[in-house]
Amino acid sequence: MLLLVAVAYGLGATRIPSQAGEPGPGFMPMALALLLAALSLAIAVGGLRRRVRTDANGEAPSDPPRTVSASAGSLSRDAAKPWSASIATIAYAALFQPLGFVLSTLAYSGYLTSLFTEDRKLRVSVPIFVALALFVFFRVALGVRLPTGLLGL
Amino acid sequence: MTPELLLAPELLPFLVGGVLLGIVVGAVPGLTATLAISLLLPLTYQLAPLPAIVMMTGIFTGGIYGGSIAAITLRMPGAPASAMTMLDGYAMAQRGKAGSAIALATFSSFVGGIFGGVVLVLFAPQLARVALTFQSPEMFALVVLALIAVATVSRESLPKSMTATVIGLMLATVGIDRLVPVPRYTFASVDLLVGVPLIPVVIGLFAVTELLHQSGESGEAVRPSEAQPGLGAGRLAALWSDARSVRIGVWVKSPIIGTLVGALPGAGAAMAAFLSYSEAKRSSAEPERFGSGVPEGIVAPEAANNAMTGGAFIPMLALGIPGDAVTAVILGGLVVHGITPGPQLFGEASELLAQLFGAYFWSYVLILVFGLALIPVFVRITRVPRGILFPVIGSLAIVAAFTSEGTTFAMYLTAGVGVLGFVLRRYGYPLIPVLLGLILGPMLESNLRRSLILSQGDATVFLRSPIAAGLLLAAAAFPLLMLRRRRIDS
Repeated sequence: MLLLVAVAYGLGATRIPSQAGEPGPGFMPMALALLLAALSLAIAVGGLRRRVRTDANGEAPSDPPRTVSASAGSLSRDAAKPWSASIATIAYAALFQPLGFVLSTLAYSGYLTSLFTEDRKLRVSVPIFVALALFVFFRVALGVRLPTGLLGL
Repeated sequence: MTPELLLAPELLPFLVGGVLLGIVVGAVPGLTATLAISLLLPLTYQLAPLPAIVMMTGIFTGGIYGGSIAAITLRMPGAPASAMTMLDGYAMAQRGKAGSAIALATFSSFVGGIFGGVVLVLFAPQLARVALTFQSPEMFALVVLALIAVATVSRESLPKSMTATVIGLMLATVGIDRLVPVPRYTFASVDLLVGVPLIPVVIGLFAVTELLHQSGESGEAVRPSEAQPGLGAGRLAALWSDARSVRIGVWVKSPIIGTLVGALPGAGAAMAAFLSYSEAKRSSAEPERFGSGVPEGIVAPEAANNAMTGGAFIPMLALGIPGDAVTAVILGGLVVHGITPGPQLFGEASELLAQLFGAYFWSYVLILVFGLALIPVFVRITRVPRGILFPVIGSLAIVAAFTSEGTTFAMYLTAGVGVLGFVLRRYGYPLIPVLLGLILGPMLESNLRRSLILSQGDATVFLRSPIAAGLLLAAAAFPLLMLRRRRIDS
């Protein structure tokens, strides 16, 4: 994956106009692409050597530590949460202008609350608190212009 | 120190307001002292020059200190300069010692700040002249040393740390080239023409990454309760004990590194903290303990980045050259109020300077008092349930990104960098070198290319300067020393 990034970045560097006789704007990107390619190979070789050593010693490959949960179902649910939170964060950015600060923040903080707690009272009260507190802090105290959106607030 | 350094009583409310505002904006990820001073600048038009300058000084010093609070309690540096404090500060908080970590950060900020101030008062014109001897080859060598030092001292493997640094440097190449007006990697986006903005990246890399990481963990983190939750004799005794456990060399070297880096135009607080932490870890008999919550891992970056505030005033006042973004805004504020910094300032405006220096010293006294007094409040942040804490942090982080740039592009960037940080962290890549690469990338590239252009492509230009050669030698020796140490330890 890193090697692919290095190749793509390096190809981008070749398209930057260069100047004869001196290091131009493409000099640093090309140097970084080569360095990244070399590092990605070093990491891949290091990983292979570790695997060979592990196989030779007859040890089980070590997995990164995971949070122990009650069941396999909850483990996969927990594993999916960061990705659903990522999508929610990008969706928050997308809906910030059209929906406005208040509605989009209510929705986003509501979703995050549901990810972190089962408590129904918190699931209702926290989003309201977050939207109100951030509105007061940014709009009223700091005078930041926030998108008004559908509510006109 | 002359008696004039005692601040006029009528200026004290402005200083208190500035310090408190600085601590608050510094503690909130995404809000920086630069932003606070920029927002406040129009308000200071109504004030006389002295109160305005005193207030800006308070925001500057309070903002640098405040960044450490969120780094320790939430693993989210309030400012880039606090990223190194996060490593050991958060580890201490996880062991139920958040109060001790904040007390130590407060005390080392005080020590570093006072040291930087003493140097500012006694040696400003001389140091400013020394700083001017740092031309492109020397600055390039200094940046190389900082990048290699931080990548080397990371707990993760050297290739992964170097890869993280390269990713940061790659992000720094986005935008219009600084020497030739050519766009690079902008993908026809107007938002990317000025480059990748720093604040959304800091928020994404630490706040959003932590949010994503925590969302995949189940249950509340169980932390031992603080043995000494409030402020009292026990807290001060514990602080004294922690402070005494730190090597005297760290207490001495860190403020010196911070002041010197601050005096170099463009280097900034983050580089001061990164270099100081790296040096503390390199010189330690137990470098492997860094990152697990050792007091030296807090003292080194905090003493350095606060000493930097004094150092940063030196080129600004003595030469009219700002040392970093905040002092650039303060410089603008001084000029708005009819004060022209430069060598003549030290002869002409001695009363103004005395009050400025007084404000600087008193701001650190206030930081010590407020910092220690507010420990119980800060510690309470670590006890907030995840169901409340992370919705607040997530929404705050994204809105702060919007505020910092005024565009929804900044929000997308924050979200994207957060996902990138989450993936990197999952596969064992450190995040701090990414940040350092982004911060120092422009300095690295422009000084490298400028040196080569001026020397007509002769790479020995870096070896002809004794300072540059020495710094490059140190950069080469750093990984060798650390590898040798690791081999001996293992």
